Amino acid sequence: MAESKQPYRRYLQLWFVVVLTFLCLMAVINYLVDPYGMFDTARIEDLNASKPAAGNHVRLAKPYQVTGYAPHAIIGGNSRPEMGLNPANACWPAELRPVFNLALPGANVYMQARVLQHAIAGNDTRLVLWGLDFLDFLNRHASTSQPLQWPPGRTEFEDRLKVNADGSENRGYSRKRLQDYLQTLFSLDTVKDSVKTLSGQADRHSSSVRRDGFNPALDYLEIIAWEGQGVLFQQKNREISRMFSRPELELFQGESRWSVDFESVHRFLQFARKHNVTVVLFINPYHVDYLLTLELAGRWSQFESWKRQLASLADEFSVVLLDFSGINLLSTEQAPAPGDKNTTLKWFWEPAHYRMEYGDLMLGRMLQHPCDEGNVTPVGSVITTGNIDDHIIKSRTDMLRYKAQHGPAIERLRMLRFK
Amino acid sequence: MLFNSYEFIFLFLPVTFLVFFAMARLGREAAIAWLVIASLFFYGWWNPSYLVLILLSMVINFAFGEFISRAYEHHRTARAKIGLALGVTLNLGTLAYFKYAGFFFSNINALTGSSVDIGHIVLPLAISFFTFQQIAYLADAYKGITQEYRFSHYALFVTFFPQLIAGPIVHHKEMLPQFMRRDTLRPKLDNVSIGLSIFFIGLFKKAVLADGVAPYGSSVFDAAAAGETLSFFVAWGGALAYTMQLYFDFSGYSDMAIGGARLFGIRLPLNFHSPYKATSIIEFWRRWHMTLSRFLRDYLYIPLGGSHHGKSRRYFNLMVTMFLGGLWHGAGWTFVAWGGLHGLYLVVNHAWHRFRQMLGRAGAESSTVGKLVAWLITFMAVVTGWVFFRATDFHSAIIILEGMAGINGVALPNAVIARLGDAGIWLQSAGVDVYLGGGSDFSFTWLWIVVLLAMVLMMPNTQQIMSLVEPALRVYQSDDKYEIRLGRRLAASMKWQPAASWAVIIGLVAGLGLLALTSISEFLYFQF
Repeated sequence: MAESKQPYRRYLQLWFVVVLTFLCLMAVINYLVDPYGMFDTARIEDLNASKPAAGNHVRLAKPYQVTGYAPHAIIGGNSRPEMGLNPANACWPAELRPVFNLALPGANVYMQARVLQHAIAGNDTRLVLWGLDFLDFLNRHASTSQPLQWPPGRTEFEDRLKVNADGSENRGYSRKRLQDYLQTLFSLDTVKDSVKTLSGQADRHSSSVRRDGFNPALDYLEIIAWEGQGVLFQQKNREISRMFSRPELELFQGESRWSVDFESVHRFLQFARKHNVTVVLFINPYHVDYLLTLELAGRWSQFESWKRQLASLADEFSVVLLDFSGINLLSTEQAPAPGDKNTTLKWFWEPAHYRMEYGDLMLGRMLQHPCDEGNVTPVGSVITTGNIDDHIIKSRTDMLRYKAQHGPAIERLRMLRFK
Repeated sequence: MLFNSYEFIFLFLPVTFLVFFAMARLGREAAIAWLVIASLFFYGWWNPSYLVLILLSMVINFAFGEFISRAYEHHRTARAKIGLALGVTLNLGTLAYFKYAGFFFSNINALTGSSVDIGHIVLPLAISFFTFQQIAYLADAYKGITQEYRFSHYALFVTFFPQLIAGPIVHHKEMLPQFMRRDTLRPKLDNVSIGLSIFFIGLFKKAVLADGVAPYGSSVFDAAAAGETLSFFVAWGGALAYTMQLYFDFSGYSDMAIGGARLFGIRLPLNFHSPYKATSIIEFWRRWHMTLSRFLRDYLYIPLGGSHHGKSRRYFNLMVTMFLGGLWHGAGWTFVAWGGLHGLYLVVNHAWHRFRQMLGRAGAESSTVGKLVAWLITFMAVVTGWVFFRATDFHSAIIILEGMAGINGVALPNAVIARLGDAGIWLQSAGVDVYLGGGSDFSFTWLWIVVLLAMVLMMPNTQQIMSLVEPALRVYQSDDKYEIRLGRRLAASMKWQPAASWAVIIGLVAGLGLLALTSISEFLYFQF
């Protein structure tokens, strides 16, 4: 037996060395390529500068990125501001730089508020621009029929935040950070994404998230090049129609004028005031297709109630609330016909997401900073409890006028509701 | 505790292993006691309250076993029979209560309009497995095949952690003698090398392959559950993705069980032998979940009369066995339908054999084309069965089957059609519809399916790779006649041995498996 032991001993030794070497090698590759931008490894052009896999991992990476970036101004919200508002825009005054785009795609209002809270805790943050989205405030009746519970059930995501919902220190933060770092380093998913990153550098239309948190949404260009922007509109219109048509979507908790979402905004504004951070709330721009779909689904009055509630919140905390969702020349740009792969809209990717060009105009307005003298297109209106009635009547009138003038477009969108 | 978790691989397994052999120096009983304690800890990790049931179950079954064995020794057959009947009834009664009471009353309520509410009964983990294992033990004791008078030994037979949760379902007589061997008490480098190699092949199958393809099956079954209509390729994509997931999940689990046991010098029986290569349903069942098939054959089909009372009775017995086999997997009519479908397949298969016999072609090897056709029919039948097995209800199963039948038309994502150029235009003119979105999902679904299908058809299975070192008990000797063999040369060349090349290959496989642990998921068979 002694003589036959030797090959097994050598086998086990070599096996162990291979496993260990392989794991370490993969971790080093993951660290150097840094596919999610989590470790802030140097971004080298044509090697790892573009991050094609980062877009799907922002909830993991951005809470850690923002602490290292130490921004003076922060953009919050969901995917719309993430793709629309550029932290590198010339409008940003020097005293607010660096700017970080902390918007999280698909995040609910509570999560958006919590990550903003995390970012300003212990940092020298001076300004927060927070893009609010109507759909994020609509909840199924089942959840709104319960008494308001604050804070709502804790999610794993919150372990990544330095502060708890009540503003106290999250003692598990360092442990979670270490765990996330190790799990990202020693992960097959990260290895796949490292390979994707290395091989995707030549693709100029690849999705990416910049170091400042901005998502330039270049992957839309890929779809437009192959399928045309009309297809993007078709698909998104259908999706929006489906979302707004879900039954029993409510804005408020029971008979109250409150919900977890409004409470999230309220609590964040309190927190920001305590930390001397200026907050600007804004309602994202929507393409007219989006607004029409919302209206066709019978949600216009909810949309108005939502604005009223935001206006009273803004007044309560003396913060500016800007509404960019009006119907104007920019939002009524017509979508190309399906099959047209050459025409590209200037202001929108699709009905729910505006382009950076639109975002630049919004920044000019919100920052009130004369950064681009040539650009004078006025966008957005400040709304307060004082002017909300007029504002709502104007928006409603604009909508009715548009509907009256664009019968076929309405019919096309109406049909989507039955598909 | 899951096999595919850090705590199992880096803590539980090494600690249990080291302490077992340290205790073995004190004597066999100390080592066995340690292994029982460790196994109970492993089981209680999920929910310590489960321990009460398994301990009670073991104590009662041990007592019944002892009673039956003593009656057998004293030739008191009637007493032994009563003991067996009581023991089996008690086991089945317990299983029925925990697993089927809710199902039973929901059906009674639906049929009679009553509203009996028995509340929510928690299904204790592994109850189906340890119940069957103990029923087999009682039956074996009744036949005098096995006997056990030490509770610690009996407890080890039931709880030995590699096979406790989801099998392989073992017999007392094939396990205990192994623990009683003198050399089991000494750690052996060959067992460690072989055990680790099998374990990590299993981990790779589970964590990299099964979990990799899983989302593509789940999304389609979820869509069906939400009532969406599914087109041809989407429905087939979902069904095939699940077909691959289930195989790599459960056979991966079984490999990990076999490998884990081998670290302790214990060989478990084989559970899988490339079932998707089978060219008939009969052959499929010789290769899929083999220890369950063996149990159903020995303790249900044969006691029912097997094939000894004429054709009709044989077919009846087959149907009953498969119906109950289906029900064993879960308290739901979809499982019953799955079992019934396979029963039907088996009846057709036996009838076909008879037909060939009448033609004087019994046992003759089919032509290559014949084998391919036989494989295709078998595989399609199995995939169709899995649709019922996976679907949450009949309605969603029917939605998927309608899609697979092409009733909702054939459609491709616009992103795919756009990239096909002229071929895309031709496809559209040929009636292929286009849908928006889902291009990337579609492409990855089919990429996974092609790769995994090639693997299941061309690669040797774990026991073939490890064939030089007796990887398991009851190794299956496959017959060329009954399987499709595309990778014959590959299979012949891939024979594990303690060589540098294999250390590198298995090292990489283990490394990939360990890296895949960051996204943990449970094994599918834990729910049964």
